[in-house]
Amino acid sequence: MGKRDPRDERRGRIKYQWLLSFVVLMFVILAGRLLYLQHIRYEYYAQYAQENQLQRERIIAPRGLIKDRNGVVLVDNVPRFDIVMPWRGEEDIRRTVDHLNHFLPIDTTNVYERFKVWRKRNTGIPFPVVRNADKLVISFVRENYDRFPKLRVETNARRRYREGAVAAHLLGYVGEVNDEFLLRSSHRGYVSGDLVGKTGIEGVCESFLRGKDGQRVVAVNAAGTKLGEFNELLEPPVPGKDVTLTIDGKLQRLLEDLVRARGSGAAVVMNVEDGSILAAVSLPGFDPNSFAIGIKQAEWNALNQAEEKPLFNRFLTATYPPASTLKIVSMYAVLSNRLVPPGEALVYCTGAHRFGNRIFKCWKAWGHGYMDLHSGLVQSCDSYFYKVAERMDVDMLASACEEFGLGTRTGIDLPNEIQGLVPDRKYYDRRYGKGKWTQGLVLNNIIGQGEFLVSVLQMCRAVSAIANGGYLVRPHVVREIGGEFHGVYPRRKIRKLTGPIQNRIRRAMRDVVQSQDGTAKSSRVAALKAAGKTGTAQNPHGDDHAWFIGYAPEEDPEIAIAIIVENAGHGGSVAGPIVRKFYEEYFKEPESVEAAGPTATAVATPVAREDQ
Amino acid sequence: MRVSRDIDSLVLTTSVLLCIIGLSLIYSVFHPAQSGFSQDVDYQYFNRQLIWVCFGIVAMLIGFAVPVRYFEALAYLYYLFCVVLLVVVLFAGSGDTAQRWISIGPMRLQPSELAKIALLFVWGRVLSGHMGGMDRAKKMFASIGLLLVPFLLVLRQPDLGTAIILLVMLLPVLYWRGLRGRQIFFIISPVVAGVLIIYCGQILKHSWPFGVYIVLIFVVAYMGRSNPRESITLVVANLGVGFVGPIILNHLKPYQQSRISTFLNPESERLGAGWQVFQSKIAIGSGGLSGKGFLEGTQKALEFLPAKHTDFVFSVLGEEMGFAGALLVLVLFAVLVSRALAIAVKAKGQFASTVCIGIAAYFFFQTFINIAMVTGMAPVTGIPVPFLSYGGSSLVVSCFLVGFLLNCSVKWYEY
Repeated sequence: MGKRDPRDERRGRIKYQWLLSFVVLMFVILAGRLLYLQHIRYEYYAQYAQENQLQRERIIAPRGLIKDRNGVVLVDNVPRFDIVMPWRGEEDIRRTVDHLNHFLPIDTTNVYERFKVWRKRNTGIPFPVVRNADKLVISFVRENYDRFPKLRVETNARRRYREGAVAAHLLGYVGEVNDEFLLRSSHRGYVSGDLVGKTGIEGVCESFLRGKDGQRVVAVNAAGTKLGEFNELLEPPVPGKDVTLTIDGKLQRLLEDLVRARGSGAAVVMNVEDGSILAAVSLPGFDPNSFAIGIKQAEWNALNQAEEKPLFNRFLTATYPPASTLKIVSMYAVLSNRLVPPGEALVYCTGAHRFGNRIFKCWKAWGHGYMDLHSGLVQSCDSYFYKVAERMDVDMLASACEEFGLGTRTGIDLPNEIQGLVPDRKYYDRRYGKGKWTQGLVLNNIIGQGEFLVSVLQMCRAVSAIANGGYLVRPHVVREIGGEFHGVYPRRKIRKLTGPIQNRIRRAMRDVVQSQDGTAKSSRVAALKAAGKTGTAQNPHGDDHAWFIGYAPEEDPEIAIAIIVENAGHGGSVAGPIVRKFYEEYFKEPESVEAAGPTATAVATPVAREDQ
Repeated sequence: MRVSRDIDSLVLTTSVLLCIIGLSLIYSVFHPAQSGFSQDVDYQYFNRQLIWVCFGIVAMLIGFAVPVRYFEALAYLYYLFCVVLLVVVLFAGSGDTAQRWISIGPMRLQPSELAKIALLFVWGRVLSGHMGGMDRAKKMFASIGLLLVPFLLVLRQPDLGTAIILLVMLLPVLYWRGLRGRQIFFIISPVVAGVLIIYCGQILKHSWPFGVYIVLIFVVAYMGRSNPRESITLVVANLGVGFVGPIILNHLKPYQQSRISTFLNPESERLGAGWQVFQSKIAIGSGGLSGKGFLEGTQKALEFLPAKHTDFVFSVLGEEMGFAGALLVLVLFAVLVSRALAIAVKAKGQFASTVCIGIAAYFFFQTFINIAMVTGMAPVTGIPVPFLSYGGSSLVVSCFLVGFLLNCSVKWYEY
């Protein structure tokens, strides 16, 4: 490669010397470090190596509490005992488990399965041989220390749902993480056997409720006795954050009791202004405590396969035909599209309406007589709406429903919300083919029968919009997380729900409850003006479902309610009385009125006015 | 026909010795300890490593016998090949937590190891005198550009340890090819400042190392006061990093902060790094001066030592062979590195000389960072020790580089 520049060569030699000295220096540092560890600190490390005396103990961070809007604790933690054994080779653990099996009934296949998963994770924490041990097992392990010196009783936390089945669907439950969950990379830090929120608030707020586990390293002698803690490696746990709900525990329990008295069903009570939910009922329910302990397969099967589907969330994941409750939206569609000009002739209801060669029946077989839009809604006259529907485009109703948030998810902060179904032109074209369906479908739709499917939550939000001056709110149940307010959401204006249109609907809904002809007079409470609408949903599988939606007080609305009682019959006679009892409690008790927040004074006013 | 004499026997001896030590360590790791459990000895890893040694010998012969000018000619092609492999591994790779390997039948190939050779070769080529018309600064930037592609790809896997090795290997190479010590210091000092302030502040929760460092910077700046502009820049850059770093860090969201600290300290996950390093320190420390004896280590058997056959193999050495054994290995590596430096001085041609410096850097940094890690002086980043750690790609690459060193060390006579 040619001649070398002597200057380059000299510079090269100097650089060589620098590099060499650097390398030697670094290696000397390493040698010094090794000498330090292996000579000066030899005794110290040798002692720890002796019998592998160090054990890692995880300090499980306490899971955050769940409270109701008044700060009453709904979900907390109580101690639970596990029998654990440190890792000293696979053989050792198998031997111990088999040996233990002679004395105590243990599901060994289950233990070995968990062991496989635990081993794969190899986190160094002791293996839990028996989880959630009962007194018998604990006392056996403590008494037979000489026989099983390696077993230890470890205290962990168990989730406790203080009110049992109350608000079970809303709170959700915790359970052991499954393998699939562990393998997802976004779930780092979870160890086999950890409890994780599965549904409801427990699931949605998992990342907040769960704290960060700590660890302590303890020195243990060969017999397994704890000698002391090793503080250099102590990592204190960080507790999870508390979650405060918008739910009022008392009202929740009250409403559940009221609905339970009439069977199964769902109900939602919502603040009309901000969409915070005060109570959300789904019945029949289940006791989440049985999940927290670690549910047994048979118990789970029973819950899962039961005819009445207790695990099914009926206010969020179930859909029902809205039936006559939809007429408030139909009325909006009629008014906003100016289908009934002022001075329109009355419709005479004979109990049936002929359209083409089909007969559409009104629920009142002997007929309502002369009806206009107002009395049509108040008395829920089907014939009147059939007549109007002859002039209505299918998409007029569909878009009105869409404006009221029916057939779309409300965006509530709970999982598994259902969308429902609002049939429109596209839907029918797809289903029956273009031009192969008739206006008759609209007649069915306008009274809330047909393909319509909505959730109780959607109906509650829709009626809130009428109550609060035309705003579609975002329903939510989480109020605070870790003490920070969390409940502000945007709301959407329903375009034409203003002025005269809104007043006419509200007047009609008031008369549903307040007038003698109204279908919901059974929900009337003395000294309180309320508004509402009943419904009776035809159920092909059994008796009709009873609907009621409404808000109160009428003049200055504060809460909206939507309720359905399954297979119970008529909305006015079944759902109405439940609402009446709820109003009586809600507006009577000063504490719960106060608790409802800033609108408390506004509530008192109409009551006082009524007294005058 | 090429014949040679004056083969560098020190390089050959040390590497053969290291190979033998590595094989016996892997044998020992999977050999049950005396107190033992009734499990069979697992020869699977040992046998596989033995096969890899055979491949290593072939690689060494290739590195030795093929004339250097061929390597120089093929440098870019090979570099391109490695980059393609690194892209492939991102999409089709396998690995427990990161995608690092390509499976070829029963063997697993780690392209990031092959990329180390590729970088040494392309740097050798860019920085040696053949790039007509390019001035020195341009060459330097070209070599940094060539580094960035594999660097980012490896970082994406993610394999921070290997990426850092790729990065630091460049410094001695640049120094050798013209940068002065001062300039090297200029390049690394703000980086050191950043790492010190973030690493010590976030993970060790001490800030005094940064203070000491800044004092050092002032001393250096004072010594270079004849060139005031440089000195001021040096001080300002370091102080700037020291002040701005924590401010930026504090303005990040908590999850971003934890991502950064996980990035700086990848195995710091819950119950992770502290435990591993502590177990490693127990293993090494309990080895004492003379060790517990071959196959007699107790820490390894109980699965307390993580990655004991790869990243923590040195801990097993320290436990079983004690300070004596560890020192022997240190000396062997020191000899290997210093011979590589010496060969670089007398190698014919700038390409060969540059590559030899790179080889010295490779052996030095891999060994130094790993041992610093297992003795608790550096964060756990997962870097294998050449020759000792289990793993075929690393062994073959090390063997090839030794072959190349031998190639450069001898006088060839061509007939």
